[in-house]
Amino acid sequence: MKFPSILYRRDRPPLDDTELKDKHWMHIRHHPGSDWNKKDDLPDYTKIKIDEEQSCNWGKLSMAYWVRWDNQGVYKVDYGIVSYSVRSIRKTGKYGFSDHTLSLSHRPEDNNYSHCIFLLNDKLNRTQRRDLRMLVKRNAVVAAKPHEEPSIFEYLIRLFILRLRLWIS
Amino acid sequence: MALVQSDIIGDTSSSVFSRQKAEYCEVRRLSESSGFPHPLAPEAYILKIPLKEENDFRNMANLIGISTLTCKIVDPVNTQANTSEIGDFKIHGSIKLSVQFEKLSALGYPGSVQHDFELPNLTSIKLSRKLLVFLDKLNIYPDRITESAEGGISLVFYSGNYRMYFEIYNDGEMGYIAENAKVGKTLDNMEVKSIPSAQRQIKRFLDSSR
Repeated sequence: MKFPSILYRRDRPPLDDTELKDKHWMHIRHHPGSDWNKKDDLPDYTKIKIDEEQSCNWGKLSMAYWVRWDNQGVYKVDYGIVSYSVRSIRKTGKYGFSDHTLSLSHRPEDNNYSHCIFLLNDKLNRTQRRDLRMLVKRNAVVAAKPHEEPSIFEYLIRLFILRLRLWIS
Repeated sequence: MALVQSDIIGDTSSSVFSRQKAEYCEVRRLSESSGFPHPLAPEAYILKIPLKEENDFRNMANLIGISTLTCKIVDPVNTQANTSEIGDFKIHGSIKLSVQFEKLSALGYPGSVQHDFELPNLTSIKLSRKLLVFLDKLNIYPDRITESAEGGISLVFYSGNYRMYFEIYNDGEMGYIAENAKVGKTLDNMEVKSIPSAQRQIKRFLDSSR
């Protein structure tokens, strides 16, 4: 797969966090443990992070599969892709946390304009952190398993829709 | 590592050791297919076999089912830093336990995993070994042994639709979360203070989820 030129930042400024709408999706590349089997749950709970080390790609600006490109321009096909609605990340209030426990911020990088990070706004103890990670696991939608790739047709359709959406906005 | 005899490489049939010379034999699997020794950690400790009687090594190695070995005879009196890190408990000849130890040995080396979080340190690895020995006494073995994104080791237990993620953190704290994965419901989420308590909680989870 060729690196998508849409991802380059090209001096574009970060977008305001209010641009992150509840209906938008965030994509994360997820590497399950070495002893993970295909029959096991995805995402792998043991590998879920909830602090700001967790990067994600904003679905408004990129395709889910592009999250497999790393900073060095390497496409990591052995990573799975999990997606979250922005709503599911923000609305943690009904699960015993405050509604601002997790938030998202747009932090574009030179070769990834869609780059965002998770922000953990509350100080949580270990028990709460396990609970929140479990919540994140349950809210995940698996976009692709490790080594799973779209067909060329599917890829082109998705690319067309993304370009159209960006052009309209 | 203190050696009373130089390294011996060969198959078990040609190796004859005497208890007068050593009490332990350190065993490393050479097979590439098993992933050991790890390319970035060729000195990774795999299994330490106590020699009970003369020539006992061959019997023990056959029991474990390893035919090609690199063997080091370790003097238990002059144990140096490398071997003292292994732990202060006695390892017995459980085959399943040795497999668990192999998995654990692969964790905690820089570059051994592709994740961008804190690797398991000696504290979490030692505690995990201790817990595995305790669980072995009850014939309980985790389905997965892996690194935790929180820094430390995760032992994962499956029982039908139920999951238990037992985490041993690098600062020595322990805790677990158990869930019914089918309905997406958390069953329990607790801190654990000691290894015997951890053993009890894991047994209780497995008993109640059957």
